Amino acid sequence: MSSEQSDRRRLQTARLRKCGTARRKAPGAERTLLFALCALLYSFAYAQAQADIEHRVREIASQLRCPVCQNLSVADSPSELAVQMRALIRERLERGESEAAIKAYFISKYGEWVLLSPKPKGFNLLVWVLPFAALAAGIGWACVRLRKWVRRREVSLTPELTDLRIKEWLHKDSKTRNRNQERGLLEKERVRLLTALEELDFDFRSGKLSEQDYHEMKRLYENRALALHSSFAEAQHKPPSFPKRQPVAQENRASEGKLKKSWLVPAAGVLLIVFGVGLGLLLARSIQSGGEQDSITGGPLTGTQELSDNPASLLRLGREAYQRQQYDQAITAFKKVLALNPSQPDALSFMGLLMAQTGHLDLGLSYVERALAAQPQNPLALEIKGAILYKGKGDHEGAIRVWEELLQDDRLSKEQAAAISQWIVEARVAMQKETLPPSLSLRERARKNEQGGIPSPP
Amino acid sequence: MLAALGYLSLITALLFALLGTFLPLLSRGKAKAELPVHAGWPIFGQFLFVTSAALTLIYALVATDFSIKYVVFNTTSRTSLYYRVTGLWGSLEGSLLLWEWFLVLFSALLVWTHRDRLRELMPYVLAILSGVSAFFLLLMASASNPFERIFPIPTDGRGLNPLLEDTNMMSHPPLLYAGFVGLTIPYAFAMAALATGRLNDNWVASVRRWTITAWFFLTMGNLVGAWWSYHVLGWGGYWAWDPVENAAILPWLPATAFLHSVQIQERRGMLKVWNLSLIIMAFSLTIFATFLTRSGVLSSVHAFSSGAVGAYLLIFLGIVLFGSLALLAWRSPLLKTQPELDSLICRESAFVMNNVVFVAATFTIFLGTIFPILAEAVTGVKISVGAPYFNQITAPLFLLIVFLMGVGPLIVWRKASLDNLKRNFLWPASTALALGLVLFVAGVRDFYPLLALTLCIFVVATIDLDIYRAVRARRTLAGENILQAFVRVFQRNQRRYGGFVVHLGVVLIVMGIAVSMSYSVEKEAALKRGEELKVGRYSLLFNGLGVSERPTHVRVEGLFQVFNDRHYVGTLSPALKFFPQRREPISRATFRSSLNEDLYLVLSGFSELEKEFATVRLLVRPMVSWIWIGGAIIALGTLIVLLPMRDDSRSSEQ
Repeated sequence: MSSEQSDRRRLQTARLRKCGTARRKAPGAERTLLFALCALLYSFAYAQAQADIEHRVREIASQLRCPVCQNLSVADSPSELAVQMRALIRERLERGESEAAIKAYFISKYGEWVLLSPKPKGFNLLVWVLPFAALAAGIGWACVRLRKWVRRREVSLTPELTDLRIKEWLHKDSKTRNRNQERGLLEKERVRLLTALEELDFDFRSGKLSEQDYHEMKRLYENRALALHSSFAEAQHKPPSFPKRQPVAQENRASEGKLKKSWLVPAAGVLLIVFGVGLGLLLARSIQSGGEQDSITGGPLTGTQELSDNPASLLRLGREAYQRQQYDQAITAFKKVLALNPSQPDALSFMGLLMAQTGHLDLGLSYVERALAAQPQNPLALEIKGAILYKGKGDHEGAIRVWEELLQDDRLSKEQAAAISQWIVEARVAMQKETLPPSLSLRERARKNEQGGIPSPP
Repeated sequence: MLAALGYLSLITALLFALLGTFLPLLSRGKAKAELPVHAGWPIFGQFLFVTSAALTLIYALVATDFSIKYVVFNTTSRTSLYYRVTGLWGSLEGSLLLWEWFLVLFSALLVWTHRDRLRELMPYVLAILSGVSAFFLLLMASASNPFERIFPIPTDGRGLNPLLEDTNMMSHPPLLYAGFVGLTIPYAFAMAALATGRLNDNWVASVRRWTITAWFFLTMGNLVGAWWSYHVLGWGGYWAWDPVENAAILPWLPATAFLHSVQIQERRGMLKVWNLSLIIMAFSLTIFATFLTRSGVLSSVHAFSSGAVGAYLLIFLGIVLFGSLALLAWRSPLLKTQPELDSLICRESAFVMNNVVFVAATFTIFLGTIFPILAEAVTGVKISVGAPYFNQITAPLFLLIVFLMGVGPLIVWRKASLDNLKRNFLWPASTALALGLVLFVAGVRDFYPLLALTLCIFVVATIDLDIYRAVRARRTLAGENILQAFVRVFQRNQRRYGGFVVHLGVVLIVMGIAVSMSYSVEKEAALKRGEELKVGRYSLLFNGLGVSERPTHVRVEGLFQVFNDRHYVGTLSPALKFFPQRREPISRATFRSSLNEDLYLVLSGFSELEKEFATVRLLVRPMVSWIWIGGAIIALGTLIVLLPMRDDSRSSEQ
């Protein structure tokens, strides 16, 4: 807002200056007109400046990644953090910072990762260059091949086809399927030639083909048909063997093919192996560096991970899994802790919470009681016991008693103590009214709907 | 009980799949005549038992049997029947089951349609299909069992990911899976042909039909996904270049390229190796896509929970790639053709160029998608490759494709002389330039949208000219009236003119994307009750908030009255949905769609204390609906290609 005002002030002075020069020259009605014009210009310029800022905010925001979303830009994300980031960009733009400076600020805060398109520097240059290099190489290669294919064709033309018998043969229906491989191939060639001639005819009629081209191509295909017809006739008299055209070409190619094959196959194999090994290694490396070492989900590739036998790290893993709502994995971890030490109070408390959240209130309570038996003043156990009593059992009095006991503990941090006292207050209110207080905000009411309604431990 | 039944079905199906895979190998050299008949049985066996497994899981979901872990995580006792059923593909294990179900369904259809065709090749095709199916069944039997039990049995489930609670849950994932799975069948044909050495073109027609079908499902799946993203995710966009979206578009590109280049193979018997490579590429990319979504390697809105499946899929991908390419290299001497062209300027060349650009686009998107992993492995710095990069790099590629789409119909097959080309180019090119100039004068000044629109006009002009000429030729040839001739032109060459209709749909989509990306207006504001917000020709009156409780969530709605410059348009009520499982609410955007622009409204926040304040984001996005219309036209075009319409049986294809 403040910069908006400064903007306005700047524009105002500009306007005054403008009007001032005008005053000297134009008196009376003209002055009023000019004044109106200035006002119009001012409002226009002001609106324009606002729109410009909005436009630039959007432009910058669309190049930044929203840190809490999945693959949305700051411009598009509906999340609260993105709203704040947009406001920050606006503020900095109004302060007169350049786009580069604003981006640099966000990079310093979140790392390179925040940029949605990587800077074309160093290794990242590859991602900008390779696509175009590939396209250019592809087009070049295609051009070379196409030229080669065209050159290969030698034309020796004879006059147009007049033999009606061959024409008839060419146009006959191909309903019968040919079992004979050789004749099948020839038949295919015949159908191909027929299609070619038909298409040629149609293209010529619809005006796409010049007359000269049409006649030249027609003659070419009819010549081929003639050649085909004679080999067809030969095939009919001969016992089935390989088609006539094929062996010649085959022999020609055989020597050439062998030569090529001898280096092509090993080369392709080596390339593939290098590619595979490279990809595998890179993937493994990036995943290792990316994920935490002790992830309960294990590596993304294996999914399984040997849980260590260290109760402390197991507890941490369980907690993390709980926070990610991967309850089954949390249960696995806590069970393992309990297998090592059946009276570990934290694990027992968490098990209690998990059981209560899945609806087994009594089982949950028994776990918590076991935790309290092992360590009577365990804050986590007390907190959870209160929560189960309050939300699960509706025993407000019991919950308040447990929590008040917990508040005696001086190991609690200030925030924890505050949260617990708030719960106590809430429970007291609930005890009096036994209904939801209407004063609570919408969001609060929405949250009240939570399943089981058991608050998570801090 | 249900869990045991389901798991047993899976295991039985796996046995059938293994049997189906090795049967052709075992009976090599023996009674070949009976082989096709026998090879079908394992497929039907798999179909029967996978269907039984899938129905068991659906029943468990509907009956909320919370002893099965999958049910707990994908449904609650409050979930409606619709979302209980769609829970089948709500997360990893079930989605694999759906995938497998489609695979065996398609295989069974293939057995049925080819019961007396391609008898020599079919046993091997079915063996490959059984092999792929065996892999997925093995995956479900070991690493991601959908029938895994949970203990302690919870009293209620955790429910579907709230983002998935949308009507499109019934269409988007199944369509996309159908597309992915459909590409397995061309792959199976290609592998069978390579393995047996029967490399004549007999199977190409079958492959083409299946590829078109799979392509259709993929296209529709992606478009429905875009539509879903547009109206659910609440950011006003339809394509975010999310890794998983990229993964879904990746197989689409080589499949499209194949549909074009296969026509050269059919006409001239050349480019065999190239076409086989495209099929292999498309199939491998579907597996790669599955790996990307299910391994948790990349973060994405679509990410499934990670598990051991990543390793399985990567190994499978390796086997597929290595096996197919080795087979291709081994058979390449047999595949050598001596390609000939009659002229450098011909439709064949245009198609080859189209293929090059499509493959370049595939490479670009692939590179961009995996580049964060590569860069982190090499430099150790985390980077992102997102929408701005992809927009910048792929825009020229896609525009090049649009240009080639216009050139195609202008050039004839085999040979076109320059003089002729000039004649054909003149009208469409000048029309496009003239209309482009009009657009420039009318205010379309930015480079990309202007270029895109001009190219689109060019494509439409060439297609129209082609159809017009064809109709004219038919009229003089057969003396039919315009309507008759028009219908006959489509009937006589379904593939060609159906393809043109698909191209028209693509043009509409390109126009919609180009305009909506460049000329959107956006405004965000905090409004007090009774306050107004003006954007463009619209104004918006805020009428307060309302709260309603739904079975699975609480919904806070903002009520807004919308006016345009002339009259009252209607009421829009965007909402925020609070789900108990999630901390952040999910926004439900509302919008008013019309042919020229969409008014899109998102509720991004409201005040905690009183019901008087709300923050809204208002977007006016022009021509977004053209994308959906384009999708419908693509569907129409595909139907024209696929439906049997010809009355005369003689054709160039069997």
